[in-house]
Amino acid sequence: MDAPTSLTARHELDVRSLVQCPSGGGDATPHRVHRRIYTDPAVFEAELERIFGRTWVFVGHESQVAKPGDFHTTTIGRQPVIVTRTDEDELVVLLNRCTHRASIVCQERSGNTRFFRCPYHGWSFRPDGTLIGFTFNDGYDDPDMCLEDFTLGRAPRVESYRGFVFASLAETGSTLLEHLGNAAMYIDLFVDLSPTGRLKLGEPGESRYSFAGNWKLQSENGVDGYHPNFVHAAFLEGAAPNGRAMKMFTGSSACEAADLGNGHALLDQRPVVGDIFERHFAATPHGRAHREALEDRLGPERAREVVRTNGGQGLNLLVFPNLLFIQYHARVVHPRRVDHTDVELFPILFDDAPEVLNMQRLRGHEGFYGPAGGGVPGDLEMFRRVQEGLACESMDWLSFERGRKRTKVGPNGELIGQITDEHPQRGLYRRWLAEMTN
Amino acid sequence: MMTDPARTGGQMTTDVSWQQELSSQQRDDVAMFIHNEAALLDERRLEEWLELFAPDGLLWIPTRKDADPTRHVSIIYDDVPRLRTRVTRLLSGKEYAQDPPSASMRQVSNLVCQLEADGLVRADAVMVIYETRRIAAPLLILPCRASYRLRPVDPADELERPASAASAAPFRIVEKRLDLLETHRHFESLAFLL
Repeated sequence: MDAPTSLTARHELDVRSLVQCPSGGGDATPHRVHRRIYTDPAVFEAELERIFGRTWVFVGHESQVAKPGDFHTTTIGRQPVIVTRTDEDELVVLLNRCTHRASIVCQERSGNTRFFRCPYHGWSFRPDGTLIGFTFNDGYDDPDMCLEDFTLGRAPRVESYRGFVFASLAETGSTLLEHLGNAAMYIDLFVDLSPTGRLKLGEPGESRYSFAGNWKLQSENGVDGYHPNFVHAAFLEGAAPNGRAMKMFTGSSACEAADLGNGHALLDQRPVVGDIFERHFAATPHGRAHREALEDRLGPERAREVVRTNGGQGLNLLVFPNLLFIQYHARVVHPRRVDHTDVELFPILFDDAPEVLNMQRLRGHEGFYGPAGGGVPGDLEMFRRVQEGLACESMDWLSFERGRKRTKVGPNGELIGQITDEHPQRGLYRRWLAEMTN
Repeated sequence: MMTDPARTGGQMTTDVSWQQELSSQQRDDVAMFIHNEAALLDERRLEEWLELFAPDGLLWIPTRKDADPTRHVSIIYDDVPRLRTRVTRLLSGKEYAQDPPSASMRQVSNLVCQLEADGLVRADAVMVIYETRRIAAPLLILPCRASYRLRPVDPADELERPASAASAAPFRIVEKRLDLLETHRHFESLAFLL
């Protein structure tokens, strides 16, 4: 008889049974996934441990914590954290949990402070997490107890890319740049669009919504070019004359969908919208001034590329596992329960830019995004209906097979299909499988 | 009434006033107008509802009490052309988020009215919106503060208008602002909200 399999190995076997990969491939790339990845609490717990507990997770933007003492709270998976800038100007990500008896030490969304004071017994921590002192300290007369033992927990690794701050709860692993891989150059296109080169998140606030469905439904959907002409038909018909907006998302559109590797993915609408954006920039004085500012800063060639992309107007980008750059916002998908997800959309404004540019971005964002926007409610309706359909326990598999046989390989190893193809989702689930079986 | 947050350090406060600036008749007209506006929304008569807006009208649902629309994102910030597009979409039969449409009841109370220097009527009320769409979902209860700026209709200007429920209304909406009580909450779809 074989030796008993370890718990881990048994679980690994279990995860592999939740996907189907075409035979003969190199990396295992699922093209079908089992309903349980959206419904099974055990899979959800494993995701929190193996994905959110290990990989790089977006926690905020440097403009949200610009000065020493600035802080911003969020969650990594379910865990509450505080992004702070220390007195030494270092960015740290603290676990929002008192080292004494576990109360959160900060309940504000953002602000500036000299210390975080736990309300329960008065323990106070500096922005770098060190404990200032025990309250009524004569009770702590054990010489073995020292303040240093009660420093707030920290994400062991924090790194920024172009101002976007990520944390990893794992001590070791790939660098942020290695993790971002092919996604980095598309983040560049979002950042470079700012006439000043600087962005502003946080101050504009955020659009918030939730849905009674699994978090991956939102990650999949943000780079799904197959659904708009169905789910958003009413919006697209109203958005441009002669059904022009709908042509982007037909089966014969020149736009593309790509699996960028590492679980990241892209919808590239530039083949259709690039010329339109160039004309938009040329049509108004502030558009022309914006382009001139870009040419001064980036040179004419790069400025043209940036204008033709127009940030997330030309691209939808998924950064594995739960960050999306779409239109004018960065979107964070928060897994709360296996069938409940909160989503936050941070409009990205240009720092120090003319008000008219930022107003256009805010109004453009509100038109489609947010809980009463022209697009988001339709997606939420689909997530809910999918989650309801997943209750069919007699049918196991979901299909992500579209466009498998029409893949081009890009210059950086991207797997590129037509915009309605499901390359983005297959790429997402390749990384998902790798992390879940690691 | 609510004061401009810019003048109160970002805090919405109520000016408690014991003076009535409008006649009883005018206050009745304002109350009737807001009740009818609520009824048109609850009955989903959205095209008639649109006619209640002045051409320069605005529907604003901010995400914070001290909101500045030039700097802060809103849930809705629609001028009349955008409202018209929104209504067309909602009534198109292709907006899945309203298939089936929401059933709603808007309850209006605590109405306070005041004349503004520019001749507009400022009306502030507490509004509770009850919404339901699906059997399985709990009733959504959405308390908010509703603030209106209303332009009294000059009867001479209205002769050219087509006859409709709205054409006889004594006011046009220059601004309708809803401040949700639960600004912090992650709501599910608010596609019905107007």
